[in-house]
Amino acid sequence: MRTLSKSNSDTLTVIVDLLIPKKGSLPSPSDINVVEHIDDTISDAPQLMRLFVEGLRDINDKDFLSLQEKEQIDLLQKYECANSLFFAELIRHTYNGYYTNPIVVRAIGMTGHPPQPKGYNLEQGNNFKLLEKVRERGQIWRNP
Amino acid sequence: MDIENNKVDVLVIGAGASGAAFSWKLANSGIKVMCLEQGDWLDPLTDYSTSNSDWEIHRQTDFNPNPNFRSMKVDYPINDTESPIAPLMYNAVGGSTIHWSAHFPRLKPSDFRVKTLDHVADDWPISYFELEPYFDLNDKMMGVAGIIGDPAYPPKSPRQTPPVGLGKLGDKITHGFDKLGWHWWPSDSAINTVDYDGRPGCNNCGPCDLGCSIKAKSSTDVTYWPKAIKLGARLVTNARVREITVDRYGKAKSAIYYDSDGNIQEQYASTIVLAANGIGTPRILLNSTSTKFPEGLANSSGLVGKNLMFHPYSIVTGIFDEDLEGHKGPTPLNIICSEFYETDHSRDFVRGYAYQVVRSSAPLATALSGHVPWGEKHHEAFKKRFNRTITFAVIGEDLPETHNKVTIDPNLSDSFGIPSPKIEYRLSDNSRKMLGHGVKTATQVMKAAGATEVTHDPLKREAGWHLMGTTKMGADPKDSVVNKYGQTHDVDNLFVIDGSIFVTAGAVNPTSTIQALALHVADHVISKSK
Repeated sequence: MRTLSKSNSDTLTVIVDLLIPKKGSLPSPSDINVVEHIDDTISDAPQLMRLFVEGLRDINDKDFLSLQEKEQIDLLQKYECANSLFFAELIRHTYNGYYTNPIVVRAIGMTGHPPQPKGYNLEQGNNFKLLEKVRERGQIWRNP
Repeated sequence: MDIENNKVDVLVIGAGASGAAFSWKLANSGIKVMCLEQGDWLDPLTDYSTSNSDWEIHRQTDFNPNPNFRSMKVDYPINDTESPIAPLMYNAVGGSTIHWSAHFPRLKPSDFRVKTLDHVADDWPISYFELEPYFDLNDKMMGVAGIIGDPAYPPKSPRQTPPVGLGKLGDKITHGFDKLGWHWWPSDSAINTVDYDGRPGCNNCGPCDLGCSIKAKSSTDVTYWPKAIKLGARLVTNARVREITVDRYGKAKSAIYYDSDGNIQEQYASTIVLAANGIGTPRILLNSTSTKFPEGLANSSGLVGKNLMFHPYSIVTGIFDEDLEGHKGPTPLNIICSEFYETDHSRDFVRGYAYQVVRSSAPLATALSGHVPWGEKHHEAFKKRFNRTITFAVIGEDLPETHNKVTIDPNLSDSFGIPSPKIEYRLSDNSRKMLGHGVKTATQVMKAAGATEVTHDPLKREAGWHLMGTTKMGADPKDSVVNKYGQTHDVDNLFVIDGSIFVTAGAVNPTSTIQALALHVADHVISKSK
C-alpha cells in the first residue's frame, strides 16, 4: 500500500466486503484488489487521502475489527448518517474499483472488454415499420 | 507592435460548434480567418478513455461534464451556487461537441414565432424557413443519421446516413408509444451510422459522452476544422481571451489573450466574432469595459448576460423485467417524442416539451445511480436495473426571464486572474408545471411499454448543457444585443454566433440551430466584405 497503514487497510478490507458481499460468481471486492485501487486513488489526491485516513482511524477507534459482523454493519450504518461525506466517498471508490474490474464486468453478463475498439453488434430493430402509423397521423408542427 | 502585420480580417473566439462552422464558411470564401480557442486539440486515439477498463471513472474526472468538477487547466470556475441547474461545457477544439451526445434536432417553425403564436417572450427576427438552406448545408457538413418524413417537422432534405439502430431496447419502448398512439421518431443524430465523408460508421460502443475514438460521432474537431484549416483558417489553441478592446470610434479593435506560455498577447482584427457559448460570451463582453462601454461591451441595452435559458430536464426511468441489452448502441438512443411539443391551451402551461430516449447505464453508472444500496441487498438491486432500464430525458422549453442571468463574480477568477461568471437562475412556474406534465406522460409511455417500476428525478441538476439567450437577437437595440445577422447593435464589426443569440429556447437540443445561425451570419459577413 502506498498510503494506508496496515491497520487501516485491514479495516478497509472488511468494510468493502460488507459494502459489496461476495455472491455466487460475483467476487468480493477484496478478492479483486479494490482496497489497492482505493489506496492508489487516494495517494494522488491529498484531500481524499485525509478524508480516508481520518475516517478509517475513527472507525478503528471503535475497535471495528473485533466486532461481530452485525455490529460492524450497524456501525457503518451509523457512519452513513454521521459522516456522510466520508461514507459517500467510501461507496464511490469501492464501486469504482469493483465495477470497472473485468472479472466483475464479465460476471454481470458483458464481454468484459472496454467499449472500444471492438464496440458491439446492435440489431437495427423491428419497429421502424411502426413509423408509418406516425406519418399517417399527419402534420403536428405549427406553421406560423 | 506592427498592427497591420498582426491584423486579420476576421477573428473568431471559440472553436466549438459555431466557431468551427463559421470559420470554415469564411475560409471557404477566401477570407483570412483566425480562431482563438482556450482549450487544445484532443487526440481521439489517446485522449479518450473508452479503450481502458477504467473508462467509466473518467466521467468523475477529466470527462466530468461540469467544468467546476473537472478543474482542468483549460477550464474556468463558474459560480453556480444560485442555480438549481449546473452549467456544463467542454473546453477544447470542438468545444462541447467533444462530450455531447450528438442529438441534432432542429428548432421547429413555431419556436421562432413564440410571441405571435403564444403571446409570451418574443419572436425571432429570422424564421425557420430563412434558415432552412443553412440547416441543410450544416447537415451535409456534419453528417446526420435519421429518416425524413417526420410529421413534427416540415419536409427535410434526405439524411446523410440511416437512423441509429433501435436494438431490443428501442423496440421495447416504441411499442409503448405505438400503444398510446403518440408521436415518436428517430431523432436526427450527428453520428455516422455508416461510413460518411471519410469517417467510419459507429460501432455501437455506447458512451458518446466520453468522446469518440473512431471519429464516428460528428464533433467539429473531426468535421469542420480539418476542412477549415486546409482552406487556410488559422487556429490558435491554449489562448484564453481576457477582453475585447475598442478604438476611439467605438469599433472592436483587438482581443487580448493569454497564450500557451501564459504571456499576454493582442490580436487585431477588422471583425471580431464571439463563439464562446452562452456563458463564455457574456463573460468576455462584461469583462470588456471601457469609457465608451462602462457596463460591458455592446451592452447599451443592459441585456448582455440576461435572459439566460437552460433546458430544464426531468429524468424518468422505467425498469423492465428482461435484459434489454441496454449497453449496446449509442447511449443516447435518439428517439424523440414531440407529442406534447406545441402549446395546448387545455394545459396549465404554455409552450411544451419533448422527450428523448436514453439507453441503460453502464455497470458503474448503474451502481452509482442512487438505487443500488450497499450490503446484502446490493446485488439484487443491481441485477434488477442493469441493462433493464430505459430513461426518458424530458426536455422543457425554458422561457426567457431577465432575472435569470450571467454576471461577473467579484470574488472569483480563473487561473489567469480573469473574473469568472456567476449564474443566477430560478425555475419558473411554467417550467415546473411543464416538467410535471412531462413526468406524468413519460410514465404512461413506460407503463404502456411494460415497465414494472417507474422512478423520476423532477429536476436534474447536472443538466445545463444548453446555454442560451444571453446576447439576445432582435430588431430593437433597446430590447436586444444583436440583430438578425448576429451583429451587435452597438459595435458594427462585432458579432456573436453561439447560443447566446437565441431569442427563445425551443424544447430540443440547440446545436443544429446554433450552427445554422453561424453559417447564416457567415454569409452576411462574407457579403459585407465584398
